[in-house]
Amino acid sequence: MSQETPSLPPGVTPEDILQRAAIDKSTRLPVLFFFTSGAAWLLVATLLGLLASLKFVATGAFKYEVLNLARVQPAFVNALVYGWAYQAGFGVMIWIMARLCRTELRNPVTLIVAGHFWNLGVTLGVAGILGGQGNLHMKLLEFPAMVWPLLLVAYLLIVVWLVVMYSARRPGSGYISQWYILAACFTWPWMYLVANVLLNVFKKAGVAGPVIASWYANGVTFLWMVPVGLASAYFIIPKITGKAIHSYNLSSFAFWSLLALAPWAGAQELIGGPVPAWIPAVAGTAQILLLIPMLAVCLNHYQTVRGAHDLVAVSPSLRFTFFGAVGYVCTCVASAVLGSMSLSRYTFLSFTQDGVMMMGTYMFFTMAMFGAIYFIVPRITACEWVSGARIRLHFWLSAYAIIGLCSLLLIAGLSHGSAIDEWESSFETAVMFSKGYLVGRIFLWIFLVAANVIFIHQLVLMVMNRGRKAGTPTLIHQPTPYETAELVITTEGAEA
Amino acid sequence: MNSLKSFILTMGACVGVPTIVMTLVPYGTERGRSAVAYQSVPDPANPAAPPKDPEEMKGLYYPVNYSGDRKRGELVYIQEGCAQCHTQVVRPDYAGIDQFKKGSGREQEYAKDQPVAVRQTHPWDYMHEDFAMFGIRRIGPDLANAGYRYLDKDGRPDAAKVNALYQHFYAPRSLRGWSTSPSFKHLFNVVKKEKPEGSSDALVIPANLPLEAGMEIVPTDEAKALVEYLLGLKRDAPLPAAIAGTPPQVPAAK
Repeated sequence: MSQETPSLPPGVTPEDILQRAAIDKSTRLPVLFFFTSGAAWLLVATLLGLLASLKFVATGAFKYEVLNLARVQPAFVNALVYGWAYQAGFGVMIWIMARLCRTELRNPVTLIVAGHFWNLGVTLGVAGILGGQGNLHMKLLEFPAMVWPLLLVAYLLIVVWLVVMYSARRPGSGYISQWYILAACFTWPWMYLVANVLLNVFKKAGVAGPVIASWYANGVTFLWMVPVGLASAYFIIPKITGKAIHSYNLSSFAFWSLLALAPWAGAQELIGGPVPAWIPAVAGTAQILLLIPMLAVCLNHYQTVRGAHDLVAVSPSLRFTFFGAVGYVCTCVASAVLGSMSLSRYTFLSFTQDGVMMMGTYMFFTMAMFGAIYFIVPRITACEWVSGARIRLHFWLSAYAIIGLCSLLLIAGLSHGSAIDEWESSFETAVMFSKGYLVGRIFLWIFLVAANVIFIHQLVLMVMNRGRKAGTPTLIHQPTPYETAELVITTEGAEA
Repeated sequence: MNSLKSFILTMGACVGVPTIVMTLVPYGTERGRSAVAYQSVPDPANPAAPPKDPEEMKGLYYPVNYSGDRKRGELVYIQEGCAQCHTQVVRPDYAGIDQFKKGSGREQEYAKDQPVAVRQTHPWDYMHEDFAMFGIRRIGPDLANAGYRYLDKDGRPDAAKVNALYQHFYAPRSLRGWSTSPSFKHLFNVVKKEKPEGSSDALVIPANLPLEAGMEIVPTDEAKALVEYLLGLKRDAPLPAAIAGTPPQVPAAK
């Protein structure tokens, strides 16, 4: 770690280094708590995902009531989103916010208590789904109705300290990542509250129900995962490359256009459904317009990384973040294209929806979170990742599996949907059309499980303080002496 | 951003307005919906005109609420995750061919040269549901008009077809080898026959379903409620003219 390196990067004083060390120490417990419990849920979710994909093909396997396909599938999605994605996000939000506000975290214990409540909520929710008590007709709101107040309160208890940190920040430390994190602090509880109050308290929603659920589910991706993932990318890219973000105005534009457009989108998946036609029309338009903030973010990141693309090969954080950025582009493009009128007749509520969900949650968000975790954990545990080769294996297994998984789901959805849309074909044909892709999906899930086992093993070693005690960061490839010199400078580059 | 307060206000406006338009407005519209009476009288002289309410429906309302076993069955449908793979939507012809697919409604009969379209589903069809059962994915067949699949020629539930429905829940592959539906065995009890002829509720087992001698498969109350719910799924009743307006699928006769 660069704290120990004798030569300091330009513009960094010894006081800065001491302050960073103090911040890292104060955030250590809650951040590690969220990363490890999130990783445990990631393992649960990938195993449930493997089981679900297996049961789609080997329909007779594991004949237990609680492991029924119709329950395992929603349990997997909800464990992945609320168990893993949110908790990894909490850890990254806390640490980046503390670093950027240059304030120590004053109340780590409150965060850990709130984190336990969150975990309790997710456990009750997943158990409720598997036990046959879930609202399995509401997309991403499948947890039993009793769980939502618990999750909401736990979330507010966690993010309130981020807002407090932001208002107590050192003057002159405003940065784009902080905005994104603040946005995520406010948007999710708002959407979750609105959706749950309308659907679980007032009820009698009729056709407004699916509209609200689609709006919420899209909001989870575009108003929570995208802000948190981009906050991490905006932090990590300048850190690793040692360059300031290319354009302040561009990042500001991308931020506000995302916030102004994303809350309109979501209901376009109901094109042709018995809802007022303006709803999918407005939502589909907003989803297409969401390509604009995506392009602005891409341009900004590209210009920032320009000239330092070699670092993607050596730095684990940058490589995962880069992959996540590609996943973000894919998510935006796929969401926009699949919401279009002409394709919707084939993709109406099809496997394509799962493909887009996996793109947003895994190809973009999870990979970005891996990048952040590879960056953050060495700084708060004071040891380095055990092996660059294992990080490389984790990357390639994940990348291969998730690209394959998303492609297979998109193709399976299109072929299934177009077979349903044929005059002559029976339903059997549609099932047979998608079957081959679903067989392929099982193998990709096995890769994903292997990747995550490697990741979790590494993370546990770090948490148990059994990482490498070396002064240099663990890299994916052994860099040349020239690159080493450059990396010492850049891994703790100018705080933006 | 200079001040936290202005940041929060701007963000509140960004997210607040779409929240009102995309969730509260549809929800308010839905709560303002009420059942509509059939009123007008058919006009045999001008068949191309918007559909008039049939005479025998005068004084009736659409839609009719449901309760009892059908409501309980709806809960079973939700908690067992049927909506994860089954939709209940018939899209209009610009968005798909749902209206004309075999099995999407009353069996498609061919009147002269023209196929009879099942009418597309309409917001009123879901008025009495807490959450319209559109479904999350369309991996299994659509169930918007599933109730028609289990009727005999006179429009009454057909015992053999209803038995096949139970069999689909108990062992889907014994009915259709290619089915990807999970088995819902936990909605059934395998019990010893009390009478030699067996219980009147028990499933009629086909030869390819192994069962020990002297045993029978009896559906639980949940399974019965679920079947009641499915038998009640008929979303093609003629709409009162006040709702229907001019239907797009009727070509104007000139």
